[in-house]
Amino acid sequence: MKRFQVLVPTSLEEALAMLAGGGGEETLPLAGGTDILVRVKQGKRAPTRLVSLTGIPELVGIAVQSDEVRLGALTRIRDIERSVLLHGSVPLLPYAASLLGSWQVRDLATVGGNLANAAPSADMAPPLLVLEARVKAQGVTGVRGFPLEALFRGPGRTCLEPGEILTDISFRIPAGDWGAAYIKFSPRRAMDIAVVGVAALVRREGDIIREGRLALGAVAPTPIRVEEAEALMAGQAPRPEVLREAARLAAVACHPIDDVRASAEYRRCLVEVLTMRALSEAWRNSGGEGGEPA
Amino acid sequence: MPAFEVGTAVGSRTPLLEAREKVCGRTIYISDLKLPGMLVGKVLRSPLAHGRIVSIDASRAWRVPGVKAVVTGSDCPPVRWGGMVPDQYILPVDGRVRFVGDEVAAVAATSEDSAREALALIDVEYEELPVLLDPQEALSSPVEIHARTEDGASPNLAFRHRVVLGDPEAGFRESEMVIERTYRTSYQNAGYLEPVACVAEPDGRGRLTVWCPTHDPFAKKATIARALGLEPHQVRVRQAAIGGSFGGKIHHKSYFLAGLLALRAGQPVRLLDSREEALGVTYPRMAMEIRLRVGCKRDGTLLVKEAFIVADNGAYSNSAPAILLVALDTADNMYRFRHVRNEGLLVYTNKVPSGPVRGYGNPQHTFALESLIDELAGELGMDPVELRLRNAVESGEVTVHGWRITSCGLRECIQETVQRAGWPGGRATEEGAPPAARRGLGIACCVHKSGARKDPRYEGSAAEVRATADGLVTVYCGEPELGEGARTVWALITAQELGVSLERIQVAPFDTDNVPYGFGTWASRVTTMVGKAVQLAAQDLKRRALALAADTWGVPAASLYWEAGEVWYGDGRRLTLAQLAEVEQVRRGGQALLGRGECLGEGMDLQGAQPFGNLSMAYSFSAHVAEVEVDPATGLVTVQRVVAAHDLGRAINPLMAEGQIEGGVVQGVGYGVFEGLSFDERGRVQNTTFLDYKLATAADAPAVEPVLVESGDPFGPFGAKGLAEPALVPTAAAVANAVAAATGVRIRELPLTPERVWRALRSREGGCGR
Amino acid sequence: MKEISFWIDGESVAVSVEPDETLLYVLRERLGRLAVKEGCGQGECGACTVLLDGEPVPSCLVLAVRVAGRRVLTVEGLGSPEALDPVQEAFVREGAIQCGFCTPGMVLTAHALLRENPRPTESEIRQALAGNLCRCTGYAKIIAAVKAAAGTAEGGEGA
Repeated sequence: MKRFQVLVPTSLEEALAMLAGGGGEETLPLAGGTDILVRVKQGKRAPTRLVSLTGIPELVGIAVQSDEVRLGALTRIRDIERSVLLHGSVPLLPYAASLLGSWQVRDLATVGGNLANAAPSADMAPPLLVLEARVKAQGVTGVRGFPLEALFRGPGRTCLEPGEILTDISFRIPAGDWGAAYIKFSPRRAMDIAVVGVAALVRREGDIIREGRLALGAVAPTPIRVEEAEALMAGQAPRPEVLREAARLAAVACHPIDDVRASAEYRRCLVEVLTMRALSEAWRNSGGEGGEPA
Repeated sequence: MPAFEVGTAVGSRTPLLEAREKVCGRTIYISDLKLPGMLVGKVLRSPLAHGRIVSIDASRAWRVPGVKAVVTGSDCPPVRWGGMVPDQYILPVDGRVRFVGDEVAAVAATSEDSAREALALIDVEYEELPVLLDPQEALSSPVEIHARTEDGASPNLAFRHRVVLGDPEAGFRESEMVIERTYRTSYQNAGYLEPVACVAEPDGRGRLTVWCPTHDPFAKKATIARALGLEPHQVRVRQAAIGGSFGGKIHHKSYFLAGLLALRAGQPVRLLDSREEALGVTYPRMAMEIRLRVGCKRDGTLLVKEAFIVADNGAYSNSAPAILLVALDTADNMYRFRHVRNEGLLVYTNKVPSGPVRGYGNPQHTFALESLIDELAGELGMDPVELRLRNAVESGEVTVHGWRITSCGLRECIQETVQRAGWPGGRATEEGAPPAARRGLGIACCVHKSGARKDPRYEGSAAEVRATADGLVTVYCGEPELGEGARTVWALITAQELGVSLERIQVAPFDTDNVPYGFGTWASRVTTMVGKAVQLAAQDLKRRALALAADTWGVPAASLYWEAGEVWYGDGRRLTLAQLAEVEQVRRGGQALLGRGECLGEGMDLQGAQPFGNLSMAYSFSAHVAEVEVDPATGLVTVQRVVAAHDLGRAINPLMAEGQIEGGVVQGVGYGVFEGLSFDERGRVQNTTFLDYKLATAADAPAVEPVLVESGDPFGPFGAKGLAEPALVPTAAAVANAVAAATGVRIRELPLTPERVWRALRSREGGCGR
Repeated sequence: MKEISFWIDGESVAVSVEPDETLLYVLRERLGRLAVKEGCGQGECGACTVLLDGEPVPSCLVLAVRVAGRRVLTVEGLGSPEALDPVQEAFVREGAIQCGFCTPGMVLTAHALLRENPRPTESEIRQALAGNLCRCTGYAKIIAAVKAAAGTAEGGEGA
């Protein structure tokens, strides 16, 4: 493994100063380490300084206040998986968390790390996208907030400036009747990477989809929302032809690649199939009747 | 230690002798060895699949502080060696690299960092050569991967073999139904958890000790000596615990490279593979393309079979020719074919060299044949079970390849699995299953040998059982334990024969200096052949103990009897084995009481140069029924349950026999649906992590129901036969047959990944998904 | 080099480590805790699992400097051959061990599971152990051992 220094700040200010003060050295924030240490071992990254963020109390925690949920960026995936608060309010997130890696990895990995790695397949991204999460980033120059979608720029690339880190992720629990679903498709049932991930969220008004939201993982350079499909669903009953058309639009909107895990063609088809299933499941979770996949 | 009545050792459910030590993490594996002054070795590997080394300069590497040895082709004795084909050097003496990962140079240094730095400073200039990845293309290409040729027809033919039995042409003329299909299998990695570690230690007196996890240490001792230019007596092979192998550790360049480095440095050297090396550059099961043609009567009576196999050898041969031979002469023996013509071509490509993996060449051919039998049943309108039962061999028969079947539970295996799996009920979609999911059952069978001829002069195993005055009984034999429980089996056999409790029995650690010569742990031979030798050695010990007691008491030996590890005389006098060992020790200047046994492979054909005919002492049979659920929209196959019935003759240790079956089945499921190396266009293995080379996890493993069928072989110890390899052999075919039953679509290529199944379903049903 | 101290198997240790050294490396190479095995070095096999403050983690992905002041449990701290922990006892009795290389990590994960969820269902056991690969056993006897240790095994042969 390439030699590096590890700095262990105890406050956010200290951490930001360390991140900004690397001089010419490549300095990276270190969250759970389950991704960056693997990359360093594989020789894909060679930072000379890592700033460990796990000991900073204000970056950790799950808070639900009325309809507002806030996740500290350093909150571990395992704590999201087990959070009683989240199970009661947004079960989508504990479920998605339970699908990430192994128990061992979830004990280390953090939600902020999962997002800031900007892997197209990141398991926490599609669910947080359909929850319309906003993130906060902070550097020595200040704090800024923006929608999660704006974070992702490409595989492994984010809009974060050098020295800037994610500090928290927040979203509003949708009002009224709503339901959500995340389907991770992988050959194995555990410890696997998503070949395709589909998250759907439906706000229901009687028998009508008042608002449908859809996000896809592992089928584009970044996790994506599918606005065309969302526009189509708004105000519609979840009839098979509506779900089918939404799924078709999702398949059109994605731009997957061929790699060792799957071909682009197959991924596109999976998007179509899984979108229908995710929408249908989200509809049922909203308390709606019908909405069987076409 | 398990509680069993003395004399009821065989058949008792016994944890491994090493279980308590292992569960506490106290067992020392070869990767745990730390010798004084031990250096860290590292290997420089070829980045090209095919190339010529124009120049290599290691001078900068030598200057790195802490570096004690740097070796390249020019430091390597110009000795070509190999399994059946001498096609490799330790390092490229001939200046050629033939696969991505081919060993180019190696270093030994006092630290990991120094070794890495030194590797990076070895300057190599390569000239790229055309890369051949497809065996068919390699057969017709003018590019020569190796200079030598087996057959003038093609430069890249490593080996070819043809076997013709009966009159195949007449068989096809007589047939009322003939079908022909082509099947393809993948490269499967052995997937052991402990990457290969090897430590070589020069002793200062011209001898080299090599600690390596191979299955055939005596053979390796000879090969290592030859490759290093040493005399045979100058190499000693020792072992510590081995963290899984499944055949995958039989061959490894480290066994030679560690020695080369250690001799150069004059210090012990350890080489330890990374996971990337374990998955990317070490000895997978070879991929085969198998074209089968089978003819039968309308009533399903099988008459004739023809196979044409093109096997992907990879860059060097190792055991590949023997693996192809097993593919050519094994699977046919479970049915009553009258005529067979099998031909196989083994073709060099610029891929990672293939090697032995559990089952040798049998899983490939069994996948093809057992898939075809189902396809044939479909053509005949017969139940696949009925077709198999109609043709299954039975005890007392001689098969088309000349195998004399002395015990056979194939029929019972089929009937047991079918009955327990609820055949064919799984074909209807069950209540409560996901709406789109389709379920199906599939069956496949297997025959495998229990030991096989290797040396043209003999096949055998030797054992010694030694009783000492301290009350211990120690078993010595020449085969390694790989974690499967062989040592426990030998101890149980000894306990049973002598009537002593298991705590008093130990098995000597493996060391070529201290144990009898052994061919090794392969061909599912150690329970049968080594177990038989151990049994005979224990009987010999008993005989000697009785004679000694008779002499001590001055009574006729025939008047004595043996019970529970003691010799008794009618008047109530008795001597324990420990007491008799002490008598022997006192009388004979310290000698132990020694029993020796040898198994010479009863009934085996040992004449002639051809390794064919009745080449094993006993044959094992099995049948697996897999139950799968297929999601037709995504192609995802979930293997839910496998019922696996195995005729193992007699279960010496039912607990670990079940463990062999359960583990083999899950490896077979991996072969069927998860596992296969994928190569990029430059010949590099793309899935070199456990994230992308997917072993089944606890969440993926199906429920496995092992069934032990005890046919009682007349030759095996207490009737036992081999089990290790058959446990994996039929599973993939059972899964493919279940998928066909569930979906109506036949997939003839492994593994049945979601995408492959999806493509097959789509080509029939059209459209995207459902 | 930096000196850190932490608790290992109930004892406090102080050791000098380089900042880039993993807990796995420090345990094996600096502290001689050879029960912790390395199978992949990338958190994908579970052989190097230790319990960090009671939770299973891949020690190959934990930097040693971050363990200062914390509690590490390896299988050596769980029981000895003469006095096995109930999970270890069940692994032995049920035949859940073959080559044994995955065993230390597997036992620790099973131990952590039973502390968190004393009566897990089979599905919960399978999910919990999914990060510990085993190539020998097919998991059947491992799952049976965890059930036996939890007292939830169905009766029957070998149970």
